[in-house]
Amino acid sequence: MLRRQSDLLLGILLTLILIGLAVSSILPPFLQGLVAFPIVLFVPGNALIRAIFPEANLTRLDRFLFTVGLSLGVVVLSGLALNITPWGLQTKSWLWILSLVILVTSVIALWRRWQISDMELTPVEFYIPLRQILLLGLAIVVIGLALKLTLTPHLPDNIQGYTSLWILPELGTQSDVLLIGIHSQELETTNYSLQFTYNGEAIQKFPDISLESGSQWQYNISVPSGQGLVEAVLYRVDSPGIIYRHVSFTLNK
Amino acid sequence: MKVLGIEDARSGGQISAVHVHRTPTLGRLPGVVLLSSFGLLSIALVFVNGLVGTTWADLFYWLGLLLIILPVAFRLFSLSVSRLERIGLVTYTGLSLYLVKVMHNPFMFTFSDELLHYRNADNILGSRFLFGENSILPVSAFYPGLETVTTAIASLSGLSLFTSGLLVIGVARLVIMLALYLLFEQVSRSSRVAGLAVLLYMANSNFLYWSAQFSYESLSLPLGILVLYALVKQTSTKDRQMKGGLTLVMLLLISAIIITHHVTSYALFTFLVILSIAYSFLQIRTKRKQPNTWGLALVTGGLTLIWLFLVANSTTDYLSQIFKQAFASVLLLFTGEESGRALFTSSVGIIAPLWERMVGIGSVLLIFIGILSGLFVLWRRRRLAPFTIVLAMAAQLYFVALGLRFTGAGWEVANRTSEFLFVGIAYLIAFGFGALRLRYPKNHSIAFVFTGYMAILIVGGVIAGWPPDLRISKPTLVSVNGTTLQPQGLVASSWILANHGSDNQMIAPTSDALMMLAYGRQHAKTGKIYAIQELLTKKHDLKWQTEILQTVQTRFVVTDRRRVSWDGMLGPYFSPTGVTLTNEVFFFPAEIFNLFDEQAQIPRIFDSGDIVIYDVGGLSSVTQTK
Repeated sequence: MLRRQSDLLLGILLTLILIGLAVSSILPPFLQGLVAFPIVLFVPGNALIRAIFPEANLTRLDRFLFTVGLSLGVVVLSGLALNITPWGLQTKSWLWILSLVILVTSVIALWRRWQISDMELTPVEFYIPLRQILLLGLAIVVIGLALKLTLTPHLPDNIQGYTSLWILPELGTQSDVLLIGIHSQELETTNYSLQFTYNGEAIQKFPDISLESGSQWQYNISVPSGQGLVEAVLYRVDSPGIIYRHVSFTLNK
Repeated sequence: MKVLGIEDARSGGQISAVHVHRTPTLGRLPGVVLLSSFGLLSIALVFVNGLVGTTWADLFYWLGLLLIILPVAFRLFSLSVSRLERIGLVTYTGLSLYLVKVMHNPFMFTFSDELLHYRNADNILGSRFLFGENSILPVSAFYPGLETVTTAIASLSGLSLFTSGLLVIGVARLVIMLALYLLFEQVSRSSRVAGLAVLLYMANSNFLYWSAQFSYESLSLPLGILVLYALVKQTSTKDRQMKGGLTLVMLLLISAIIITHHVTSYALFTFLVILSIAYSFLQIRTKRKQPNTWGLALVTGGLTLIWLFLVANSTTDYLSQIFKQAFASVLLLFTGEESGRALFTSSVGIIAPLWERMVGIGSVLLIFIGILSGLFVLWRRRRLAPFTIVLAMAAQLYFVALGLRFTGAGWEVANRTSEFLFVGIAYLIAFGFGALRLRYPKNHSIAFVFTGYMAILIVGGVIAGWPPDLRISKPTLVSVNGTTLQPQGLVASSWILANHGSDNQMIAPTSDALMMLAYGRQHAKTGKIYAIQELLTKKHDLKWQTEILQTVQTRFVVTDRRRVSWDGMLGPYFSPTGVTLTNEVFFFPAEIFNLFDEQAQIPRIFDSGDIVIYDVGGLSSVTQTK
C-alpha cells in the first residue's frame, strides 16, 4: 500500500523539505533551485492529477504531460489568488499557497486511491543496451560542449569599443559640486584628456587619464556658485583635435 | 519483453501492442541524437565570435540546422520505428531547436518582446503584485501568466529572472512537443503520421526563435495544444470518470491560458466554436449522437470576456488597432494606393540573397502542394471527422495569411498566425506523406523525398520568419583581457538606474527604450505615439519640441545616432567596425543627433558616442522621479 502511494508521499516530503529550507535559507541558490523547480513545475500537477484520476486509467505519458501542464496552470491561478491577498507574490506566500495546494490535493488523492482496492500498476520495463547508453552519453558531451562554447563572452572581433562620459550634480554637498565620470568600454587601454569650462572659460584640465578596458574614473569638481554652464569635453590623446565626448550641466543657483 | 506501441506497417499505421524480446526500446534514437548533436555544435561554432562575419558563418549555420532536423526526418519516415522512439525523436528535436535560441543569447534577453515581459516580471518581483505598469506595451501587464510562473521559480529558487524564464519556456517547449504528438496521434490514429506532423510543425516560420522567446504566447500556445489533446481524448472515451476528469483538467488549463495570452484564448474559443458546429452538423447528417463541445466553447468564451472586461479592457484597443491597420493595408494594396511590402527585405533594407529568396518561395509552393495532397487524402478517408475538418480549415487560412505578407501592416498579423495555422498544415501534409508511405512501403526513395521536402520547409521557414542579420547571434557581452564589456544601451540603462533611480519618464528610440524599460526600470516611451519618432529623427523648432515634451511629461530624452536604434530587434548590440560617421545609411546626420545641443539650458548628462541622454526636466517641467 505504501509503495502505491510513494509518488504522493515523495511530493509531500519534498514540499516539507522546501518549506524547511526556505525558512532556514541554508542552501546555495543552485541547490535551492534543484528543489524548487519540481515544487513549482511538477509536484502540484502530480498531486492534482492523482486526485482527479486516482485509477491508473491514463497512460504514463498522458499523466506526465497533464502533470506538467496542470502545474503551470496551478501556479498561474495561484499567482492570481495571491495577488488579492495583502502579502502578494513573494517567497513565503508562494511557499504557503503551493504547499496548501500540494497537501490538500495529495490528501484527496491518497483518500481516493485508498478506496480503490485492486489498482493495477503496470511495471515499467525498459531496456537500453550499453552501446546506446554510450551514444547518448557522447551526444550529451557534444551538446554540453556546444553550450559551453556559447556561454563564453564573445571575443572583440568586428565590433567597436566606446567610452561613456557623464555628469551629475553631487548630492548632499553644500557648494556647487559636480561629479564627472568616464567609463571605458574600449577594447584596449586608452589615454584621454579631459577639460572643464565654466561659461566658456577653462577651469580645470586633466591632460592624461589612462583607463584600461572596463575601468572607470570619477572626479568631484567644485564650480563657482551662481548661474552658469559647466561643460566637460573629453579627447583621446591619440586624436587631440577631435572632441570625443562632451557633457554639460546648467547651474541655476 | 513487452514493448507497447510498435507500429505495424500492415495495419495501416494503426497503433498496436506487440511483444518483442530484448528489442532496444529506443531503437536508433541514440545514434540519431548523437548525429544531430553535431548540428548544435556547428551552430555554436557560428555563434561564438570566431565565425561571425565570415563567409563560413552562413554555411555552418544552415548545415547545423539541417543536421539537427534531417536525420530525424529520415528516421521518422521509416515504418519500423517504435512509438517510444518517435516520441523521443520529436521531443529531442524540439528541445534542440530551443537550445539554438538559448545559444543565440545565453546571457540576457534581447528580443524586443522578451524585454517587455522581463519588465513585467521584474515589476512583480519588485512590487509583489501583478498588473504593474508597462509603458511600451501596457496590455502585456494584464496577461501575467508567464511572468507569474517565472517569478514563482525565481522567488523559490533564488535563480535570476533570466534563468527562470529560460527554464519555463523550455518546459513549455517540452509540453508543446508532447501535446502535439499525442494530439496528432489521437486524431490520425497513427504514431507515424503524428511523428511526421510534429516535425513538420517545426517548419513554421516562428518556431525556431519567435515561439522560443520569453513571451506570453510561448507559454499559452503549448497549454492551448494540451487543451485540444485533452478534448480529443475526452470526446473519444466512454469512461464517464475519465470524461469528468478531463473536463476539469481542460477548465483549469483554459483559465490559465486566458490569464496568459489574449490571442491564444481567442483562437482556442474560435476553434471550439467551429468544432462544436462541425459536431452538430455531423449529428444532423448522420443521425448519430456526437460529442457536445458547446459547453466548453461557451465557458471559454465567457471566461475570456470576463477577463477582457474586468481586467484587460485595453486589449480591444490594442488588437483592433493592429487588425484595423492590417485591413487598411489590404484595402490600400487593392486600390493601388500602397505599393505593397517588399518580400525578403529586412527593416533596415537588407535584401536576402537569391538562393534564400528561391528557397523561401519554393517552401511556400511545397506547402501548397502538401496541403492539397493532404486534403485529397483526407477527403477520401476521413472527411467526416470533425477534428480533421477544423484542422483542415485552419490549414487553408494559411493562404489568406500569405496574402497579408504582401502588405505593410498586415505582415505582422500573417507572421504571428503561422504557429497557430501550422497545427492544421502540419497535420495535412503529414497525412499525405503517411498515405504515400503506406502505398509504396518498399520504395525507400520516398524517405529521401520527404527528407528533402523537410529541408526546404525548415530553411524556408527560418528565412521567412527571421531577418538575416538576426539569425546569427550578435555579441552582447564581449571579453577583453578578462573584463566583460556591455553594449551602449545596456550601460546607459544601468547608469540611469544607478544615478537617477527607477520609473523616470523618458523618450527614446525603440531599442534604447526597450533596454531602458527592462534593465533601467524606466517609464520609457517610443515609436510614433506623441510624435516621438518625429521629434527624435527630424529637426524642429524648440517651441514644437517643448510642446511634445510637456505632453509626454518626460524627464529625459535619449538620442541615438544609429538608424538601427529604431529597430527593437537589431538595435541593442555593439556597433560594427568600419562604418564612418558620415555614412548616412547607418547614422543620422549630426544636426539630428545633436538635437538639443543648441539649447544650452538643457543638460547633456550622458554621452557614450552613439547614445546621448539629455535632462529635459527644465523644458517639460518634470524634475521629480515618479
